[in-house]
Amino acid sequence: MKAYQLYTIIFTVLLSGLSSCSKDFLDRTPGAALPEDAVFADPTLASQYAINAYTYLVDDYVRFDDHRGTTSQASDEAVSGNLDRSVLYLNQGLFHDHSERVAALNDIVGIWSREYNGINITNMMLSKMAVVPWKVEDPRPAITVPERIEAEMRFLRAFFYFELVKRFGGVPIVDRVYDVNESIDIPRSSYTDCVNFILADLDKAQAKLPAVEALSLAENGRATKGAALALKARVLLYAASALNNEGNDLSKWASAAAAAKEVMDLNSYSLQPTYKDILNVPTSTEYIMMKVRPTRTNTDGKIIDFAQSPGSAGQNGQMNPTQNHVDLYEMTNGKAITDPTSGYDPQKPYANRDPRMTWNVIYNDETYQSRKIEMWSQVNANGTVTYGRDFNPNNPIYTATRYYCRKMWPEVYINKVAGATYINFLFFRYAEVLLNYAEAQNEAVGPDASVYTAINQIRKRGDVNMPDLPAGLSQSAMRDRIRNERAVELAFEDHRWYDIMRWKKGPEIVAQPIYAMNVVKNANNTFTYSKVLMSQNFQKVFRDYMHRYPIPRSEVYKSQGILLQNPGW
Amino acid sequence: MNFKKIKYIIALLCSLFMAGTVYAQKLDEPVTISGRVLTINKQPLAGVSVFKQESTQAVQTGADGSFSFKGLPTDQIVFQYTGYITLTKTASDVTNLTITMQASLIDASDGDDVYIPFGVRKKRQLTGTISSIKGSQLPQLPSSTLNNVLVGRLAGLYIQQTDVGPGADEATFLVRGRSSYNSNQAPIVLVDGVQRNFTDMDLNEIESVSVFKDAASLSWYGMYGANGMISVRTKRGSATRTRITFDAQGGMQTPLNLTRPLDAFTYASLYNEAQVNSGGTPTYSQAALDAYQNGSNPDLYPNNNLVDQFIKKAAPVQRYVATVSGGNGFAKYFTMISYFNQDGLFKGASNPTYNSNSNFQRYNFRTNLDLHVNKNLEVQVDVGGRINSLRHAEASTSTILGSIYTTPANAYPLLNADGSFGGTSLFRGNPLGYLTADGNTTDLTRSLLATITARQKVNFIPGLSMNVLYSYDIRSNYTSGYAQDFAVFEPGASAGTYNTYGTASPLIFANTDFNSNLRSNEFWGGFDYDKLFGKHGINFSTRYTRSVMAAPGSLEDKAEGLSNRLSYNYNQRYFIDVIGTYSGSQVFAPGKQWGFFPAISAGWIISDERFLKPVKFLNYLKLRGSYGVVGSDAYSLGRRYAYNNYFSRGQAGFIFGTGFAAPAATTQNALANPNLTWEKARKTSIGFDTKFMNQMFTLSADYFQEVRTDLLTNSLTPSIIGQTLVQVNAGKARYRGFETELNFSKRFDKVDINIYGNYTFQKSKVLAINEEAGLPDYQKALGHSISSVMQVASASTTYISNFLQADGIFQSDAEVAASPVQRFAGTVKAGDIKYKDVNGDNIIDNLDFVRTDYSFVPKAYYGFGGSVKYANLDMSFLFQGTTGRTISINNLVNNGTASNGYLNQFSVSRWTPANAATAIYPRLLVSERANNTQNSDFWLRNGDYLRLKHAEIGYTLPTSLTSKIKLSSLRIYLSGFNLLTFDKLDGMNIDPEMPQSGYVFAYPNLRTYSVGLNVKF
Repeated sequence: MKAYQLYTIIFTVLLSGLSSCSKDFLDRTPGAALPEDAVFADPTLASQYAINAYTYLVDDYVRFDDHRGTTSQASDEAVSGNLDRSVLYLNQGLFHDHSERVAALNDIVGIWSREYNGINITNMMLSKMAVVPWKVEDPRPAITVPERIEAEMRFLRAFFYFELVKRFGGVPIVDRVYDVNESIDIPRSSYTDCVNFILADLDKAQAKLPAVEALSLAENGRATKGAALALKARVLLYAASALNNEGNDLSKWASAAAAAKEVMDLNSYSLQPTYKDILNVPTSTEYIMMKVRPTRTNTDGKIIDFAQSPGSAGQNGQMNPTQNHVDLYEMTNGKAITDPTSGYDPQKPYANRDPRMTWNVIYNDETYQSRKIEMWSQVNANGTVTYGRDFNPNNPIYTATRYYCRKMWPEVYINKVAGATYINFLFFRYAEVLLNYAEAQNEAVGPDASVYTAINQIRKRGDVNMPDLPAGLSQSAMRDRIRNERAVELAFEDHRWYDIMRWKKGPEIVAQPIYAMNVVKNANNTFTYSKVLMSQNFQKVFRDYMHRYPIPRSEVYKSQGILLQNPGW
Repeated sequence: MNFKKIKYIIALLCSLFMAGTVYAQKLDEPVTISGRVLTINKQPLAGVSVFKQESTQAVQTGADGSFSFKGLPTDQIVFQYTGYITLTKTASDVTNLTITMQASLIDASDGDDVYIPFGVRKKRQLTGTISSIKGSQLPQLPSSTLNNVLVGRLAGLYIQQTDVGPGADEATFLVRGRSSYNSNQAPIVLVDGVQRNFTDMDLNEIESVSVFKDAASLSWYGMYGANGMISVRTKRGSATRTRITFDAQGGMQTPLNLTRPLDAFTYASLYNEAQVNSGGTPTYSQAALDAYQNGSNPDLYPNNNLVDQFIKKAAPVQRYVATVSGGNGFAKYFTMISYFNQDGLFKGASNPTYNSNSNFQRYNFRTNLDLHVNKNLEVQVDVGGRINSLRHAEASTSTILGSIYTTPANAYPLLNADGSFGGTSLFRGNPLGYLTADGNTTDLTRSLLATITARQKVNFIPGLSMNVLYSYDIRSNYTSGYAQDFAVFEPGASAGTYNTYGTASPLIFANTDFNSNLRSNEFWGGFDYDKLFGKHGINFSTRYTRSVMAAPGSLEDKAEGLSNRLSYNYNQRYFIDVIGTYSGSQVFAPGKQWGFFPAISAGWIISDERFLKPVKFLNYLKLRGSYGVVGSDAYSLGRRYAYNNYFSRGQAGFIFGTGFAAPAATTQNALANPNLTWEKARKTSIGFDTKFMNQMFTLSADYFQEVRTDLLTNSLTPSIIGQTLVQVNAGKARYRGFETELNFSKRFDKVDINIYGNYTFQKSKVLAINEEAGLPDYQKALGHSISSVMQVASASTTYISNFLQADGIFQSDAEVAASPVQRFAGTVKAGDIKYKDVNGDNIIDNLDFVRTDYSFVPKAYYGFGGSVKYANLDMSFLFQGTTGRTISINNLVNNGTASNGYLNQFSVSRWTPANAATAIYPRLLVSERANNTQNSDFWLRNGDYLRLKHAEIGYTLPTSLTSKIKLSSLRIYLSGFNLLTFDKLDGMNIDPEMPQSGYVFAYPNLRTYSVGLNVKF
């Protein structure tokens, strides 16, 4: 090869290299990603962005520490069989330590950022409503109807703020998108201001959201007018409750009752005839709003890993209802087991009880999955002890209380059988609205007939069929019955813990001795039952200041003294 | 000429034996060539290597400098001697003549070439800090990676082994110290000037390994050099010598440290104790304990030692390498082919169809060609490649080892009476099942590495040349194997019935898969100008570069830069280098992509000055220093283009309806930081090189400092902004330290002795970091060293800096009652760890953790070794060690699950009321263990160690013998790797470098004994 040819080649290569030292070699489009302008210039992309805000709702029961804890275990409903630390810290009153557990759905620091993430999406979308070139052709895909998107954004923003105020009290109100260089060290608004902010959004939302009847099956799970009204009823109930209504302003109770009544008057919802599968059906007349999620199976459902007895091939039976909870179920004659005339036999503790007990908890010798549940211990003739297959006190993956939780371990999950079912997370169901109404109305005007009607409806549900409440209850007796009804009806559905907080009843309900059942199998195959106090590890602490969560410590640390901590923390 | 071409082609084909026969035909033409070699001062020079160009035969001059051998009058005769300038003469000019050889300047002889980026300097001319080692100085080890052979050999390079085992031999590298708290500062690795992996290369491909440590040697790489650089050069052919070598090694690898599982009786007794401690009742009756002890009923009361049953005492390893190199004025070539085979330690891991024991095989090949196309054009074509074949069981090695290490001895019989796999609901991972009935996988990784470089001299400007380099590397992975699943069976309530766990599935071929396809290209092009004007030497280099790394599923990674270097020396005594590089990175916003990275360095050979001439013992002293800025854009930002706000689409969104098909979602990515920029490392290095006492001693020392600014640190924006945030460049940290290398070489009559050592000390400090304002002072990182203790778990490795301060073990419940409340577990009793109340609030909680300086990176690391040669015997060794290093044994001692009661071999040293005085660890518990598993200094141990890394003894057959079998040399040797370890662990049988190895789930660290053979034709 001649030298000049090579010169030419090398020069060409070099020059092309140097001359193209232009900026475009390193300037990259972000590939498959999109700039902000492109998103909001396209109604489909914009609405997909908006709809994704739903993702930030609190949408599962078993959420602490990935899938190892529920609020039920924080309250008196249950304990964590293996003393998961995320639960233990709540039980011990170490809420800050609970929040330092790194977990997606942690109830303090996780919720704080999760809800504000959702709020940011709604703020962004509301600010862009005028920018998006919404299509006007007809019919237009339901997803891109601007009025509806705006209403959903307001509903969701209200819901996000409610999840915050129900835990922390007043929080900073962020109502627009902040730039990264702006100061966002905002003080907390008062509880009342937050509630008013929520209600304002809800009023605008409910006016434009479709009625549930207008919702196609393909839209199951989307916000409706009923959901907005149900949220409003819940917001007002919380606002009227002892924690947030220091002087017991009866007008607050009255507006809470009116809001619940508004849902009832829609006549869109009714109780499902069966309680036993209340979480396990794809749709229901009782569901006001649900998290739509495919069925969960033995193998992939984290709930199963958490609730299923190892004797049935579960990995961890940590969700263990307490005796305290089990004792709340009335006898079928409508009397509490503490009533001497109830007919309760401590040696046949599960006979003739409110059927909801069977649907909510699994107890010894119950026939379940075509076999007897075995949670007994037996002392053999030679002195050795044997245990039933669902119980082993030496291994914390078995129950600590001799109960498993049926709501979290549906019957189809059988050892070696690939069962699958829904375990729906319900944002609102009609029974709660009735209970909300009864509670608010009883507080506002006393136990009038509408209170009885609301409660008795629930008690008369097809497979529950409990007797009506006795007539002539005093307001305070009615309050106790409503609270008991709530505890039983909504058991393990993520209500009790927050109910206790709003009632300010933590010391009276949570910080009480926690009991379990001891079951001994006798030589003649009968059982001896005795209620036993659980070990110190399972006993719970609750002090008065704990009725509100602490603001995440790291957030207070970041603030220049503007974000103030709740008292006591 | 014709003949040479044949030889050349044959050599190219790397056909060792054919080539051998060719040489065998070559001995003819008995003309005697003889003479004497003298120095300039007419002193005879002994030991000069004299040989014919392109031949394999050589002689050495005798004591009087004379030599004699047979050859053709036309042969080119080469004279080589360390420290002297090599001479080449035609044979007809040589016969009976005296040859005068001229001594080269110190550190400027043929063997003193040091490769700097796109340039070569004599060691004497170097002003930057580069430590180098030649491939020939490295031990020939049958080792799956080259991590092992470099450990302890180069000052300023710390290598920490992080994993071992076939195909999993991994290590992290650190150059000098730590100045970034965001990353582990892995240096960039270059092979022949291109970013490539080097640990999978064969040792015999390697000419030299250099570590670039200071700004002068790194700023050429601008944005990519801040973490230091390891530069590997592969071997090239020689125009003067033809060489054929063959190496064979065979060895055994044995585990260094391995769990000693508890026997069934001890396990059951301790389990009972743990239960009672946790408030339960004992599981095992006295009858059961007796049965475990006397082994009367192994089906019902099994007593397995799974470690003995499934881990071999030793596994074989082999390596074979052949190289052919040589050349002439037109072409030079180096070719190599090697094979490496390493077996895993699993025992009984085969069935008639497949083997599940891990096995790693590697084939390396390389051909490096230098073509002298014409007097102005030189072209190099290098093609290298490797095939890695890793076979392993379908379940991961950690899963299998976990089941072997942690399944209690009495869990189940491995096989039930009916031949089915044993197991229980709690222990379903039967190792026998994993190893014989769970399938296997073979990962075949193929890499091809190609480089072409051309150098064209520009005739009309003497000294000017144009240069280009282009590389094309590809890699892909192919996975195949067998798939199978097994079930375990637990005897049911009635005889003959079983509860089964898991689902057995029959043997099928597993799905095959191509994955991990990568391509990378680099282009470097520019000019060099090298010219001597009298005593003024000038070297100027400029290069423009672009690189692209492409993998499917994402945009390519690109880099671009323009590097320049001007070197000037006066009289080979005063040296100065100025380096300036423009470097661009796609990580940053347009307009903020380019940075300028300048460096200046200087050297002064002060021993050449007249005023130092009288100092006779000092042969050589050079002072050098450098200062400059190097950058790093190696961020782990979680997303690319973090300067830009953008949205992703198409991800699974929120589900509506009843069909459960996730709709498309549009999501906003983490909030951008448009001001994002690179880390800037300002590096200072000052040092000297000296030789004294007739060059018997060589000593180098450097003081260094690096201050790194613009470190990424957390944004302190409150979370109510509702977005995840990209970090901000607001951090600052530095390291300082010194390093030194000492070498002693001396020939005493027939004994050659060489002793060397190196030592590096470094200390880091965090100078700025965004921390939450309300954090208590004792939890802040500011002002502390960049430090953390590494805790290796099967899923991930965590780095912990904050610890509780332990105050021993509570000896009585009264002591517990009198102490602050410890809030990690519901109950605290005698036998639990006692912690100090740091903030004085009488409560021990998360506010009592304290930021510490305990670190897995040692404060100092060093190596020393030596070699002795006497007649045909030789011996060498290397020690390597660290000081100021901390390890955690928390996850070793607390290893276990609720199912096995967290019991392991360490559990016997637990606290009980009876042995309170001698207990090492807290009491046993099966639940509520959180008080005793907190990260506290209770679990920290001194991680210092000194290790006899390598020792070798060899014997070279006398030439009288080897020449008879037509060999130029034959050496046999015995070598050992990881032979001895001294630590400060009080007899705790763990590896101080990798405490987890051989425990919990990790492969044991390995000791290798091997025997080898080296043949030169």
